Amino acid sequence: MLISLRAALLAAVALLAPFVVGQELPPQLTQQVADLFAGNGSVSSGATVAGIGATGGRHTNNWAVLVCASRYWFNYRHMANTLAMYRTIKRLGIPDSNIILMLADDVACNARNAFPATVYANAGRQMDLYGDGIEVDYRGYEVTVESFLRLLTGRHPDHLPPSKRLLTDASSNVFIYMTGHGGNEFLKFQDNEEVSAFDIADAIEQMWEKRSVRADVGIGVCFGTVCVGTVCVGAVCVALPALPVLPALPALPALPLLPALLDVAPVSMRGVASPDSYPHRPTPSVPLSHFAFRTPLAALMLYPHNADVPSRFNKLLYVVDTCQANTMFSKFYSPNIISTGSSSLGENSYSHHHDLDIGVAVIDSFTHYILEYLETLGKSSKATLKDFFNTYDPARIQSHPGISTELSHTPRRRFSSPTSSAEWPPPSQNVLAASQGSRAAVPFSEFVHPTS
Amino acid sequence: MRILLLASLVPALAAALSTSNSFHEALTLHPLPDGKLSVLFEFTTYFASASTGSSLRQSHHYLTPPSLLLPLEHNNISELTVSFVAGQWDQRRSGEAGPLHYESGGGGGEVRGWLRSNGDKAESDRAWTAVTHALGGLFCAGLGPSDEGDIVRSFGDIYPPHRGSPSNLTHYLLPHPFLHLCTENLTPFLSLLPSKGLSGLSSLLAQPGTVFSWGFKSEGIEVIMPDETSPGRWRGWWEGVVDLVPERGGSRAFSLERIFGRGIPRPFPEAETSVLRLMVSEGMSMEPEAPKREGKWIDGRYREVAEWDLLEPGMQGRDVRFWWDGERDFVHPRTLRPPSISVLRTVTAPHASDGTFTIRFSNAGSESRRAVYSEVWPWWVKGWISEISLRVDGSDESRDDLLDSMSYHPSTPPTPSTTSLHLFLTLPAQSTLVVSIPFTKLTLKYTEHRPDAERGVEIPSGILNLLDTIGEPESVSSDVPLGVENARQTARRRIYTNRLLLDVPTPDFSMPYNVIIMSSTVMAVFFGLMQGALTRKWGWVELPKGEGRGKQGEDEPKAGVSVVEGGAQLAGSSS
Repeated sequence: MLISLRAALLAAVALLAPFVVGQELPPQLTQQVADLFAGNGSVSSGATVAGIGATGGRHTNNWAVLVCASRYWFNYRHMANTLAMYRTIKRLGIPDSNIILMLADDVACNARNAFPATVYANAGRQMDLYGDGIEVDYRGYEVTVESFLRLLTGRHPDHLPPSKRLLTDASSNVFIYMTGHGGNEFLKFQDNEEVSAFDIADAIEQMWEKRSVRADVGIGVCFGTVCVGTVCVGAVCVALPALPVLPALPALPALPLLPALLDVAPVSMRGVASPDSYPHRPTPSVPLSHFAFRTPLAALMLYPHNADVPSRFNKLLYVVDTCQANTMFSKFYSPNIISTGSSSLGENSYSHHHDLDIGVAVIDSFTHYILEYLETLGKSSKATLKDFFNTYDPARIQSHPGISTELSHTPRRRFSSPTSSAEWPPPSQNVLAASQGSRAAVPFSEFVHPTS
Repeated sequence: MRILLLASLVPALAAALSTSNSFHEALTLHPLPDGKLSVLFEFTTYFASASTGSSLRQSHHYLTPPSLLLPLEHNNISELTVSFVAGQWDQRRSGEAGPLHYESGGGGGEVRGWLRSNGDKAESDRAWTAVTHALGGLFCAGLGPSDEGDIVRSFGDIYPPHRGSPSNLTHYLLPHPFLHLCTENLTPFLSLLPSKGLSGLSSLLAQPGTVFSWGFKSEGIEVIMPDETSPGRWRGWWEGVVDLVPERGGSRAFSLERIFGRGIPRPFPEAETSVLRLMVSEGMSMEPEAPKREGKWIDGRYREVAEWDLLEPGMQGRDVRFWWDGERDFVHPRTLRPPSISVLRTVTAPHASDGTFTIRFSNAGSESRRAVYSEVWPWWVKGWISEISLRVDGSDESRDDLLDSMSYHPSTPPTPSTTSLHLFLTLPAQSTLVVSIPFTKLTLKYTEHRPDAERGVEIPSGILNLLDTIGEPESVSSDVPLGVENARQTARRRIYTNRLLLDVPTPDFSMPYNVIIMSSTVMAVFFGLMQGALTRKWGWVELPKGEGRGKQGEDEPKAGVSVVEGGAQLAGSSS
């Protein structure tokens, strides 16, 4: 949206150029263009739109990663847990394209399944979770610790299809659900490896870190109103055709179009650009006009441009259902995470019930009661995470679910989600306990509703 | 004049474009002698090149799925086939050498195709890797190579191109024998069809609960990209085998409603043709009677095919019923007529480390046949090629003369790579040729074992490629009696064996850790004792009296036995 706005603006500028040569631009336009080149990207076209660089707190999209880490028929309930969660968040509005579903085994078409191509999460077999349309992004042997951590950190080989990537940005709220067999600070994947709580914590920290991937350089020469030059993005250089530009604008740096193009390029390439490059700490972006030299006839520019890839999430909700699940999020140290798990250290998480015809347990207790609550929510629900956590009943769940909101310290700001208008954290709400309650008032819709 | 010409050309071009895009669908029912029914859906789309002649890069898609064709176009694919097979085709019980759709591959998943290459091998490899991963994403299955060495390149002669000469094309084959078939593969398949599973025959298929309860299942696509002269074609197929005999016995009588739970569906408006076909078996009746019945050569036999046009007005919602006259209880035949050629591959493994592939080629026909038998093995299967032995069933005499020649592309262990082996064989008439290939299983690395321990690893199907088939003639003289056989009059060129599960002894990886932990413990205990004995001294320590009183209630050690480090320092207090 922003890119097209910029493109439209550029086109307008390019078209207008011959007519406004030698004239003062309207101050509003001058300001827009100046803002554009200053790199803050806030284009004031009626309403102020926060720019790409300033999207840290904006929430525009939701993503979900649902992981069933265990295989084999007798772990049917883990597949059912995950698929039930999949169905619920799909119902609440996250499209299939924004859900990464990892199923370590295929129980639906398992030879032992008396009801082929179906998975049920309740004893009466009322609702088929597999349904008519399902997209499993990672399945079977593809579900490994490596692929899960690569998915989170976004480091993939170039040829990996988009359906297997978590294409989130700084304005994404990410919901991660994991289930399987686990223990103190680990979760078993397949039948031979484990992901540790430290691994996930580090992966999430990498998601949080802002990355600076490459320097883009433009060299151009302007002759009067026409500029020619080269734009280099990474290793690829593109020769720019002759472009008419605005000459003699005191408020502007020498060559408006080049930096604008430079600014746009990395944004449009997000997700397609090689993410293999190792992410590192952000380097301060050099103002675009910094290296511009001007002569009356020609202008030569060198624009070292840091393509800041913003962090990969805005807020993160982590839910885990396994034995000793609360240890899984005990190592998190990145901000803006709210986590909850099914059982505390030393406790098992039990299955809820089984179906006699399927012959195995069909759902775990914690997931069952989570879903029991989520199924009462509609797309326009104003329910908060506080309401959600308040439904936890250790007696029914048969374990003590844990809630961690201590990492969700962020400056107070209002949500811009069209479906909610809660202030976060709310001014004076004491929710569960003094230590963790107030920050749990995040609207649940923040994680499961489609926005903008 | 020129303008006039151009003006007359434009509508002609448009007309050509619209007529070259057409969609055809067919449902074929083929009753098998063992009381089962093979059900085959075929959806065929002919299309012109999607990219227009304009200088701007753009493409128009009318009936074709851009998500499928764009990656193929982008990666210079000329032809591509993706096939998934779940379950096992029983050649002996069905009396057919393979499923009704000849392009169905062997067990598991498989991608194969021809790339237009400009001689740059690295570029072609990159394009192939890219396109297989893209299709893997599309079909919710890992179709791409996990390592470059998984790609097999020696099967160009087995799968000759439909178009172009092999000289400027490169063939790739990528078998994935462990893949299976489930709803997540059917959903994208349906979404590629223009009818999307909502109308036409595809709406019968869009019932995962029904179609995945069938025995043998095969899904696949075959795409031939358009070139300058001829339009492209993409065909999707779905085949399954339904058991017609009720659980408690009874007649095989069936109907569309009984199989699919609904009658003839609402026609897909863009479909050029939509037909229901039945390969009529002996004594079969149907209601409504087929408007068209004709004889056809299908897979080496002259058979009667009944055909209904489902686009006829009045067909929608109707049921079509089939029964065998006078059949009350289906009696399973005591003898089944075998297909003219069948292949059975087994593995005999006296030890965990070694084994022998035994492949039995049965030729029921009255003439000897020429064929190439091909195997693909992962690098850790090391065949003893010089030990390959041939004999004809019933005698122990070696028949090495039946092996004309051999083409062997060894793997490069221990890097991920494949061995491919092609044996040029003569299959003698009315006999069974038995080929034995001994092999050794090499040791896999820690990370190369499957994550489900002790299950074993699947290896791809073997392929028998018949060299002397003459195709299925379209026009037939009317005096050919039904049921006549000519094994060579078939378009089925390839017969697949089942895939094989090879036992790979999975080491218990906890054992080395046990040993390490145990020996470390022993070392630590021993070292600790020795260290203690050598450097420590036991004795009485007198604590000053004032300290104990001042800190009452805390767990301060009182006077008693304690260890004294470096005896020399506190020599005074020792007794």
